Amino acid sequence: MSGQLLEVRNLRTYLQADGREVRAVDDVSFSIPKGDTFCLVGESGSGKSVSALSVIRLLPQDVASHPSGEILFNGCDLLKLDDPGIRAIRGSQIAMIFQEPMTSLNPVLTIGEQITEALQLHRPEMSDAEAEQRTITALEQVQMPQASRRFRDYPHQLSGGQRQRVMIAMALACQPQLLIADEPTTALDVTVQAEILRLMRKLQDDTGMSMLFITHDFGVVAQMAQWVGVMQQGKMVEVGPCSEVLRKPRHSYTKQLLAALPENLVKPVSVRPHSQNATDQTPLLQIRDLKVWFPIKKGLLRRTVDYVRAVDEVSLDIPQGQIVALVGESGCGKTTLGRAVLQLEPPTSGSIRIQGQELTGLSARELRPLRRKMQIAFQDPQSSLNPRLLIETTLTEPMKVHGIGANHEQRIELAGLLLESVQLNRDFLWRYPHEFSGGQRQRIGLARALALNPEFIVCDEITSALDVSVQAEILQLLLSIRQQRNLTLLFITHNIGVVEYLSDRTVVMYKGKIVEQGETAQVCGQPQHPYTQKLLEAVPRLSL
Amino acid sequence: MAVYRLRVGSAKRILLFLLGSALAAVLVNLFVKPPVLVIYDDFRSAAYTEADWRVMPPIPYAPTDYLRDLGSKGLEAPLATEGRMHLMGTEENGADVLSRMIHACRISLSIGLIASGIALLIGVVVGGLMGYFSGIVDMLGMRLVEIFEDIPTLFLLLTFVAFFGRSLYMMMVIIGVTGWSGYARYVRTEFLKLRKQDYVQAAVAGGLPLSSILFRHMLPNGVAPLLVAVSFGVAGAILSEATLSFLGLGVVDAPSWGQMLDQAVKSSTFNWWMAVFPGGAIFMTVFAYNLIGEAFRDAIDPKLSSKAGVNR
Repeated sequence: MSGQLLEVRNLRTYLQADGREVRAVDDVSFSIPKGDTFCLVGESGSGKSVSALSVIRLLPQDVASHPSGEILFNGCDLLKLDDPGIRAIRGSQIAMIFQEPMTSLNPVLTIGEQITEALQLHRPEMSDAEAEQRTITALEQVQMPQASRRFRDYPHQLSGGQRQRVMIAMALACQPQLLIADEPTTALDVTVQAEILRLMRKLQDDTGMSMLFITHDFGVVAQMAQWVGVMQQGKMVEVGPCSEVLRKPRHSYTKQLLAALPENLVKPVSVRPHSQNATDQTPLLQIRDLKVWFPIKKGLLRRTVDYVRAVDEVSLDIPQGQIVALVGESGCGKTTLGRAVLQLEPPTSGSIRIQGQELTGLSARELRPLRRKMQIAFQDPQSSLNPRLLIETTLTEPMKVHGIGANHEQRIELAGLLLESVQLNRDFLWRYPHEFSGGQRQRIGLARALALNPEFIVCDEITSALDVSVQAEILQLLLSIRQQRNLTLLFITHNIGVVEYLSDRTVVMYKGKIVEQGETAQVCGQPQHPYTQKLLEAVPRLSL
Repeated sequence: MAVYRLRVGSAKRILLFLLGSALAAVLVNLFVKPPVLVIYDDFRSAAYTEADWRVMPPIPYAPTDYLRDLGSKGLEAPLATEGRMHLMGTEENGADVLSRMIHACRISLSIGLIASGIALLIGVVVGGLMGYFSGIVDMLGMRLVEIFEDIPTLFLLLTFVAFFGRSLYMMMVIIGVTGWSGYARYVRTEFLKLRKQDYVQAAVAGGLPLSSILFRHMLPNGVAPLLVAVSFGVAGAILSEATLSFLGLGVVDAPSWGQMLDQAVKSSTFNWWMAVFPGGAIFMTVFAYNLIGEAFRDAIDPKLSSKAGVNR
């Protein structure tokens, strides 16, 4: 077969873990034509990264084994090559970029040194001056501003997007035929992601290389891929041309994944009893001129030289019973705002009132009775629950402090009901957090927030770390809980699809300030502020 | 409020119990006459008194019994003497080394546990407050830590011994009060990390009292490095006492492991049994505390507890 750069046939990769054998990749076949992009999609743990690492043979040899399969790269089986053989191909003909731009560059070497090193390793005949010139060209290729000056910069002087550009430049310096990109834009903001994706398409057009692109985001797939492979539990369940798989998915799992995307979720006919008189009612939460500034201290006397204005003169009303989405890119102050509302971060100035009662300037003791009204759920399922406490303790302790439930038995009963309300088994009370999956932990986190019967919950990116299908379940759960309890939510997120599905109102933050707010349909339909327009444009969408 | 009532209730219950047992003790003393029990410091003199029966310990020699009348010349090697059984030999005055070893346990172990207990208590509280509140509290706390780190414990001990005489309790307190700075640093660093963890933030948002946040949500998650440090600290306190006794400034009347090592060095000839047994005892104790520290760390971690053999 001519024209196929990479052919993977019946690949199996088994990993040894704790004496057990895990079939991470199980009988996977796909091929990548020259100059095309093949996207591997799947949820976490589906084996997509392991497949890619098997291709470049980067898995630790004492853990991984390949009982069967061949990986033909230009007709040569990579699995049969010895170590020097694979090293000659790695980097020079097959290059790889990783997900985390913050840690994939060495912080003590300049970016120029790092790229030239990779270059001279594969082209030993190249002189220093020549290599430097090539590096600068590569940096220009990835549209790095002032490439010749950036050559001597250290990684910490670059932003996340620029670091990912450096990684791409490093990968492309040797002009590989195949680029393996493992979730290269997952850690980046949508606007930066859009730029990087555009850059990668342009580079592909210029150089004619092939790409094996791993992602979990169908929006990205739609933009990048000619070919798609959908993986589930180590098996390739569907392979085909991108447009065909996305428009007419054949396998039930692909259909399920596509249906779980927030933009495809069927929005329940929302009964919003308060929407009509929301305007004349006093809002549940009123924020006026809120500032959260972090001082930057310098010198021997730790004098404050400047402030980081994380939240800068924000005024916001959150009406009773509504879901308000707070959108913005990382570092725009949305999480700080959410924490400041709950007095987890002391505000510098301004006022926050819940049901007319001022929160700022209260002592911890005065604040305690008000804590019942407002709770928070967090992003990271790993750190949101105390690993040393039983779920039972985590749920009943706040109840005890606030005098909910007459005795321990009643509180345990209440906690059991809470778990059932987030669709978990009552017996989970007697387990520790490490026994649960990420989605289950997020449900428990929600149950903890609900334990005090609050009026208002701040949801800080609670679905960002989850797979789409789990995300869909959590979103539906949130809507049904809102319906039952007439909750008010401040939903912090960067995912526009989630915003459109879930929220009644949308607030857009940029550099610590609110740039636009209004009804969700209006903000997402006819954005007024240039930043909102840019943000919405950058969202990779599945145009079906 | 419910918490308050419970605490008052249990405190009352304890008081009642104490009162009741005191009353019972008085009554028992009035009506029951116990037989006269004679405990001899020197076991052999018991043999000459007229008693109906006696129970001898497995090592029938007192630590301060120099066995002159039995012809002990001192510094006899283990099992070298006829007629008497000295499993670890005798020291220069003729007393049985094994007996002295056993009696020395009391001092060495109690000084280790109490001194590092005091240090641990101060260290955890100061370090915890520093880490949790950070800012100005942290800054002042760190200066306090630095002040205490600058105090040379040994010279402070020497000074106190010079002014107030030799006292075991004074030594425990001084070693404890000067030894907490390391623990405070460990706890502070852990707490600085932990206070930004989501579950701690959730505990704050839930309005939980400070003591619960500090000691229930933060301390168990930051205690692992502390446990290892404490096991070394116990060893350190034992060695401090040993050093002091070695310098001849330890407790006078009772033997301790350090004092015995001191004897071993001061005698004109090298007698291996004088050095090996107390030295080995110190080593084994330190080793045992380290193992206990590690096992305890595993036991309180729910992820590892099943492997550590703890049943839930």
